[in-house]
Amino acid sequence: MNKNNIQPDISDDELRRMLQEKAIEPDDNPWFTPRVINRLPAHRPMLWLGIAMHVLAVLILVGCWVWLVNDVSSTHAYTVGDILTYAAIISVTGFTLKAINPRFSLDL
Amino acid sequence: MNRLEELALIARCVAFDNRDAFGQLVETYRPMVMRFLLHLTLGDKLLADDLAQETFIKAYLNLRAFKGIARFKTWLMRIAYNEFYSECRRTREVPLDDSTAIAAEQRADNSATSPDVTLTVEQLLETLNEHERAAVTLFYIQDLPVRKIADILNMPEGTVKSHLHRAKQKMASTR
Repeated sequence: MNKNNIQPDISDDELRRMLQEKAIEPDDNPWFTPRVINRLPAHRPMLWLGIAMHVLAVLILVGCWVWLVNDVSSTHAYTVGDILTYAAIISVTGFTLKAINPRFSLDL
Repeated sequence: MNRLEELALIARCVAFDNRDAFGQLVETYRPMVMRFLLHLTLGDKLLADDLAQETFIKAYLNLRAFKGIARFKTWLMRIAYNEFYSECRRTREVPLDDSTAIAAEQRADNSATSPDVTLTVEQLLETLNEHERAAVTLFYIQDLPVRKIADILNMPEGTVKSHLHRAKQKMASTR
């Protein structure tokens, strides 16, 4: 009987030991990684740049809102220009939040 | 490489498109991916090398989709298996069935007079279909638990166990 026979009732551990002894090992290949890197597509736009621009937009909006709250709380006659400015800040805030988080929605 | 180091390299790849960081991931996981593909391709080094390259390129292109819930190597192995399976369908490899197992047994019967014939792992895996070959390689050779294998092969744990059981019976009939 062939000593290398696998018996139907062979245990998992024994089968594991047998197959691991016979396992095919990959050769060392120093050119593999450079070949993969060379085949990658051209550099893509930096994710960090998009994040930095979003952060800048948020900071500008926060500044606008601080100004808006100060202006609204101060006692003076509101002009059409003031109301249009407030509406613009609110709209831009909504668009910016939508750009940062596409799932954001304001159901009116 | 521990999980934190792995995630740090992935973050550098995604945020800064850092090719050096990706190169480190390739160097770390190349042996594991190649070992897996060599067994799936029955020792075909050229084919395994091509599939391994495609695996890493696909991984790079889809790195932003990697959510970090599973380990990176599990995700990578899933890509490698899908590449192998696609290659089989492309080359219209006929999945091995019982008739092939019988043919392999008959072939081996011819060497029954040579009691010292050593079966190679390729001969053992040759009688198995793609799913069984992958399950055997991952479970017995790469020592992964059934739960992880189910994740890699995208099938229920029960199906993995069935494949392992059937594979054992087929390999037992190879002499």
